[in-house]
Amino acid sequence: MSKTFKIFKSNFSPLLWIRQNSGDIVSYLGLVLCISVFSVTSGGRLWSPYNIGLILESTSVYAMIALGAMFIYSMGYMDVSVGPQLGVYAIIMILIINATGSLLLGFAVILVIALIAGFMNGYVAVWLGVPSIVTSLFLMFIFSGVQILLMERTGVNTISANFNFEAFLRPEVIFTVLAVEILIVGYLFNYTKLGKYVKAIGANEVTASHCGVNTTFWKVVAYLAFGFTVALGAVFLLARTGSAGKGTGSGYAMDIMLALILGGMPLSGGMTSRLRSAVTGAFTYVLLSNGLTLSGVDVTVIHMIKAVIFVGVTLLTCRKKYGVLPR
Amino acid sequence: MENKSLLKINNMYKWFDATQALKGVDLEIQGGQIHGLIGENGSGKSTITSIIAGVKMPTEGRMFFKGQPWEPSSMASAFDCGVSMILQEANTIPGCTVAENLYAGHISKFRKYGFLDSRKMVRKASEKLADFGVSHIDAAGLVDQYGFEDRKVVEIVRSLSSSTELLIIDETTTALSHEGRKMLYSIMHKMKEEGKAVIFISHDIDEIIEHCTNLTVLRDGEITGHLSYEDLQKDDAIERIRFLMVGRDIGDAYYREDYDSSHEEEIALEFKDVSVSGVKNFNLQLHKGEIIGFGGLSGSGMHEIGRAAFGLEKLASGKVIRNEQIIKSPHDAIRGSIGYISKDRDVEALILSGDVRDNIALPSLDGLSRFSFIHPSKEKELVEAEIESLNIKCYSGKQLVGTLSGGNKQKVSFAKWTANDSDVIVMDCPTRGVDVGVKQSMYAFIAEMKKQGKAVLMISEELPELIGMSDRIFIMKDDKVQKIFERHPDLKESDLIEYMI
Amino acid sequence: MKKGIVKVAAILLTGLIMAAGFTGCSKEKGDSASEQSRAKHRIGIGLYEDSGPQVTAVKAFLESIKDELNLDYVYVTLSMTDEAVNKTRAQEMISAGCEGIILTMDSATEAIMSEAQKAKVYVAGYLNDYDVSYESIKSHPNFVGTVVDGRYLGHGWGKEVADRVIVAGHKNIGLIKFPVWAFPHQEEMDQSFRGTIAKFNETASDADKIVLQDTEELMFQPLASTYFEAHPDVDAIFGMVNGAEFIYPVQVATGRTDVKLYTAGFNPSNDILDNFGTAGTGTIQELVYSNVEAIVYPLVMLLNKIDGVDFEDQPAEADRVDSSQIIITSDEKLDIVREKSLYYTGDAADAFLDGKDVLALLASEGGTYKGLVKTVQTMSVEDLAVVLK
Repeated sequence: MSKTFKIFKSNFSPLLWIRQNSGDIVSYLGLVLCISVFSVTSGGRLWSPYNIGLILESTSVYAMIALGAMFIYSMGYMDVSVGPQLGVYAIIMILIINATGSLLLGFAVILVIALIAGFMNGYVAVWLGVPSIVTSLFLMFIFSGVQILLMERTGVNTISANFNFEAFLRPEVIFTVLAVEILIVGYLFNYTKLGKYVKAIGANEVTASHCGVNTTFWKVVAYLAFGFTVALGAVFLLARTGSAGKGTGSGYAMDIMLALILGGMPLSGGMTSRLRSAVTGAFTYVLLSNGLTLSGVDVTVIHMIKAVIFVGVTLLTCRKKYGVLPR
Repeated sequence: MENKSLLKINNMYKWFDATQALKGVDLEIQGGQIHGLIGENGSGKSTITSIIAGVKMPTEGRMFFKGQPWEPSSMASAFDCGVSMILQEANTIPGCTVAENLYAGHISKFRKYGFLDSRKMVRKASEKLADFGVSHIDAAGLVDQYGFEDRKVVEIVRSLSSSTELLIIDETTTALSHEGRKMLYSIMHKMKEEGKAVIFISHDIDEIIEHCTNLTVLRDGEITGHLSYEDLQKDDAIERIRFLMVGRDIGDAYYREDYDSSHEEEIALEFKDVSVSGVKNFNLQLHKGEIIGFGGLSGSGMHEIGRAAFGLEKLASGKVIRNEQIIKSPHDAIRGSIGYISKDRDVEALILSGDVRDNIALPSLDGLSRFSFIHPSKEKELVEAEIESLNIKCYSGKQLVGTLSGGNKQKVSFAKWTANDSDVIVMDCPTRGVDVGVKQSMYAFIAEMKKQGKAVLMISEELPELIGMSDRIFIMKDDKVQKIFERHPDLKESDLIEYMI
Repeated sequence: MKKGIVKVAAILLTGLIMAAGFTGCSKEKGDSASEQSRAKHRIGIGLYEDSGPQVTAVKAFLESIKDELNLDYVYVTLSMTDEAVNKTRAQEMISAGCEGIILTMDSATEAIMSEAQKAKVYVAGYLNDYDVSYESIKSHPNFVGTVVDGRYLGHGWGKEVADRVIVAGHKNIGLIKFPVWAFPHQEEMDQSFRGTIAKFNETASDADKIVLQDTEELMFQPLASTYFEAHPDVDAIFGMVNGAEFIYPVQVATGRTDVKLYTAGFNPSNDILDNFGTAGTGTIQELVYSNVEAIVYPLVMLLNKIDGVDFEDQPAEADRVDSSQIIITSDEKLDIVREKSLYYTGDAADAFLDGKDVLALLASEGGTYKGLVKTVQTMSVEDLAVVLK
């Protein structure tokens, strides 16, 4: 009791607290604002059971991948190869399902590829001493090439899987998978060395290595974790439409980044990275489109409104969050 | 001339959010003064000077410069009006030549037909450097090729012009080489003779007494006392200043009081034929319960030895051994219970954007974790214990390290290793930029570590603390150990300096 | 900092208030419908662009008929690449209360159809040949048919262009199209064009024979600027792609506006039309586009289902019908388009149909399927000329 008292008596200040947590506050504020404004403007449609299911379904892929991307973004890195990766994985899964009828085999194959891609993303950058964005660009080109090659060989625009994905789209299934992933990633991110180390690497790599962190090793582990979630996301992406084409997945790298920023994730990574950025961000991102459409806002204006909201959030979250006090 | 009032500050207040940095400060600087400012970290010295130099704005209060209201909008405009400041942090522009750095912001002076007359600029820069007696810095060379200390000299030269009437020196001397320091002192005294004024901030009380004409002491944003030249020359000046700074009598116990340089037999850390950067075939045995001090100038090779002890340097030959294990990386070193306090605190030792808890716990996570799981309450316990035992001033373990004062940051840097219960601690300039109160507690802490049988490698540019704390002192120069001194009450700074320069 | 927070909060609020404001506007408009016998229905329109002359024209047309039919619309923009996004857009339209959905793309089709079935919503295509999915959805209970962008098969236009090229007397012709996996029916255009020319060459004297270059495939990028270096003698190009966008700018850039261009696509910009036929450089000899009014086909088919009244001559399976196109081959035809075409003017008063005409097409108002198909197939330049008179 006396300890608590001491903490409040000392120079704790609400303003400082708000400043230090402005990112978190904004990410919630954004989501809450979106929900409350759209609840009114959509005439209640936002809360229809159908729409809630729809929001859950369309958020699922973003959220699943964004959760894994937290490990990368926390280190202050980004990955641009996730889009074509998703495309290739979806196509490979369709090809394998249509040939063998086994989704599990398809998943196993893409998981292996995703982990190899993750390893390359993490290790090759360190090994060659190039910025990680370079390896990620390299992978992006490779996967885009493979995607177009695969589609040209099939000779059509879109291919579909002979598989019933109904079960994957049930709200309770999506909810369970997402919840389990949040629990696992949350555990890794907040209670294990992996999470603590990636944040430390993002905040100050020199200090992290001075504190005994084998930065190369943990970078690779982080990318492997990300690879796992990309493979998971690919399954749910495929489940949504059962089909894929030469453009499947393109734009996802940007979508994930936008979702994370909307969730209050600082692009520089570091100690202020919070897992909730991935979840609130993905929901906010989907809600923005959903709510604006449901409210009957003209498509030409939607971009403008999104831009304004985006600038607002970025201004608040991407600034430095600590001011060095005078000596 | 003597008593001309140059700068007057009336009732100045400054708030940083909820923190009050200045609480109604009145100060007058006269021509012909070297006006010292001293105070513990967070006492407001830098806040005052940065307001004078136009870096920050006061929340309340007025200033007068040569009788006119003084409201500089930026450092550059203050410079044009005759007020210059040399900053504590490194402030040269990397990737530019020395000449470009010297005339940054005034490049237009050398414009000819729209083109930059860089030859003229280099010539002028060389002349300017020569005026200050600096011969070893090439005006046309890139500033990056010079070390931290020489870059500081470039900064000093840059911040002075013939129109400078008030020079502010903010804790610059700790970053300077011996020659640089001498140069700075002569500049200060020359300005005094010319009836101009200097505001001199330093942690080093001896330095202040030696050079200042008068002194103002600050504590918690308030002025606690003024000392005239006569006061400064009295025998009790040091005690009086310390008292004014800390607000209590800190007593005589400052350094270690015992002269028992015995230690255990067991070797805690061994250098075998180590060659690293310039240092060749270096050998050393550090025993449990021993404090070995390394003294020398910045380029003497002593810092590299400290880095090598922690596996940060790639060794050209030889090995660093702890418990029969060869130390090749910080990872190895930490597994071997070695800790390292970097002299570049904000860049290498701390994650400024992280909170106190994250920083202190980081090296210990490996040991704390079970199957990679880190129990938050165990982590909290560990950190709270360190905060308490080192008396780190923060509102909670959740306060960001970047918002702490210098002394408290350094305590966090210590706490990282005490939390991990390191048996060998390598300290590189452990009290750099730290004020008296914190220094005292750190010295007590180091003495306690010796008693607990821990081994300490203390690298320092401050000779008094080496003499005060070490069992053995290695004095280095030109990458070689020149002389080894044993702990002795009669050992004096002058004995050591002889072998350093 | 405090000020900063206030500022940013203000920006955020502005954004959201803007959103609210725009909704307000669109709601009010919707409520102004006069006394109606028909119940109010909401139709979702998924276009593949969010702006441009075609979008403007479609919206102008739909707005002009909405009071008569007592409709309101939800517009969304589909993704050219992402199936999942397109499914989301369709779901959003369902969620927004649309009872029928019109789509311009064959993407995520099966997933959207099963979603529509669950939500008891009907789907129709507009300028969309459902090339991949048609076979699997044509008997789907919630799919009501689609109207194609011109003719489903490419043979007809290929032959027509070849005839015109022969008459114009071109001797060396370049062919340009998109890859077959993306646009399978351009292959038919290519084949019928080549077949017609080959027939001509059989009977022509050696001097009159027409040389055909290999067909160039564009990967959705403009024609390479080296094309004319590789084929210096080409005097005309048959561009099966949208030549106004992919070919003509390259001709301008490389100074080969002397090569005549017969191409698909239309762009009402002056740069294109001022060099058409005998005007300007006279580069462009043929332009083709589909009528936005063709959207009445999916619209009427959807409204019939929503009303629960089928045509007496309703086809057994959902149909894929051709629509007539505006094929501009002469200065006179261009003048007609400029004066009277909805696509060009963006003015719904110029449309082939008004609200009353569309209402009369409905099964519940005595319309027939044959009548509906005829309507979307009598929208050529010649029909436009008749309207003009």
